[in-house]
Amino acid sequence: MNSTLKQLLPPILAPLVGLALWTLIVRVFSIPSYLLPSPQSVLTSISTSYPTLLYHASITFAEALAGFVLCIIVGILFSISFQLWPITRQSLYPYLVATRIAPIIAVAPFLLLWLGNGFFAKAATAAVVSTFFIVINLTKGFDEVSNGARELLRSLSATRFQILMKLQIPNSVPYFFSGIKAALATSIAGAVAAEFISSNSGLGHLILSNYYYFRTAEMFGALLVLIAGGVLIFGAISMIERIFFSHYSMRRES
Amino acid sequence: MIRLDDVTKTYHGVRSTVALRGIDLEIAEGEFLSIVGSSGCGKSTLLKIIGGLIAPTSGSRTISPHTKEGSFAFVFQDPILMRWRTARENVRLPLEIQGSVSQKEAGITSVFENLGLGGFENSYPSELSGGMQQRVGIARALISEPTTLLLDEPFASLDEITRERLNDELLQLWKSGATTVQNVVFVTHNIDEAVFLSDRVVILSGRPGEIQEVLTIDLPRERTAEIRYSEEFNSLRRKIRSMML
Repeated sequence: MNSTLKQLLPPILAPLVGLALWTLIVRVFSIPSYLLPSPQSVLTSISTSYPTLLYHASITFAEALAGFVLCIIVGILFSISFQLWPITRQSLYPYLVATRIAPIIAVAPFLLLWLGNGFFAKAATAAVVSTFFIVINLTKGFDEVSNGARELLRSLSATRFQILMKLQIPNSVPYFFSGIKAALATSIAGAVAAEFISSNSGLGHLILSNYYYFRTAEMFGALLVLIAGGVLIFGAISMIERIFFSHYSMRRES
Repeated sequence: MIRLDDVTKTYHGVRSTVALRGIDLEIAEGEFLSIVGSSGCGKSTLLKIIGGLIAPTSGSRTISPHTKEGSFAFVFQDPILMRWRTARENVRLPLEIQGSVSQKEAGITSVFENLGLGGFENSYPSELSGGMQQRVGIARALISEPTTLLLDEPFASLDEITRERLNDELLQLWKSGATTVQNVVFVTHNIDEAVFLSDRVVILSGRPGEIQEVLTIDLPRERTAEIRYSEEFNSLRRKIRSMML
């Protein structure tokens, strides 16, 4: 009990200390609220405008999650094809890095141009930046099966497809989860980036429009909702992994 | 019956290595054969060639018609259990791959009983000791009803007591007729183990691996734990040891 309390205390106390410092700095240096609003005024803005915040959040998270699901589907298809048809891996894998190197904010205008200003273009932007993480991690999980395990399956005369299904895919489960956790973060970033460029709704739009009017407390409110939503989804993914896939994890055996 | 004639295996890397050279070997029906030699002498390679897992660079491998291809099963040093499968699901793997789950699934229970694994069906590998993990590895080899069992240093990473117990049990199981196994080929670097288990011991010299000697173990086939302390056992051990320089 005492030791769990000791473990829980620092992460609970740290933000409280941070908020206290923030309040103190704002008060002591009389910082104008358009530069740095006090935590209290951020809270007030959230509590008064939460229906608006929720509306915009639902749009952004719908875009991000659609992109997220899309990148998972596309990522899985690419990864499996890389295993079954090495030629696809040889020709495409090196260029996958390019999708990661290209700044999303520079890529998004093209997608908006081609796909229109709507929901799908934002989801596509989210997917384009995120697919990389799925493919990289899955490919690693598929590749990193032991030579012994491969040999065992060959001694059982397993086909290429059976090796994939019985060995490589289950082996890649923990890698897949690291991949989708990274992809979740970039999906949200992609959706917001696309909203920055062209949109009239969503949290990205909300941050940018408030920015033009120096409504900094509202900007903070939108940012906090963005973070809270992301953390919530992240937590849900971690929980699914822990509850349903614990035996796939790489704990040392015996 | 399995026969190797003038088998050579060369690995082509930065430098070519001759792993095996001029191997002539015949494994008779109903025989327990051990292959001993120091690390890196090519004994694992030889086992894989016997089992048809890798092809020789030159020379030939012949098996008699009733030693069907596909009736070989391997047990490796690392039991290579899949961490996401229970003991039972690990043993079912060969059946899933061969598409014979419905015919042979019922056999899993008796294989588990034979190997002293009863009650551990639903344990995950991480919950089993090294010895139990290797029992699961053997169960997985037996489930596909092989006629030839090929073991590659299966007990090398176990402690002495567990190793001896598993040796006893393996021998009992093989002789009991509870399994389909007729031949056993057993690779080890442990001389005691080889003498205790085998009808014949093949001594491989290292780099390149060549057969130095094939020794017939003329101990009574009824091998009890006591036999390990007999004079004959010791002299056979000494003889093999002196050849392994």
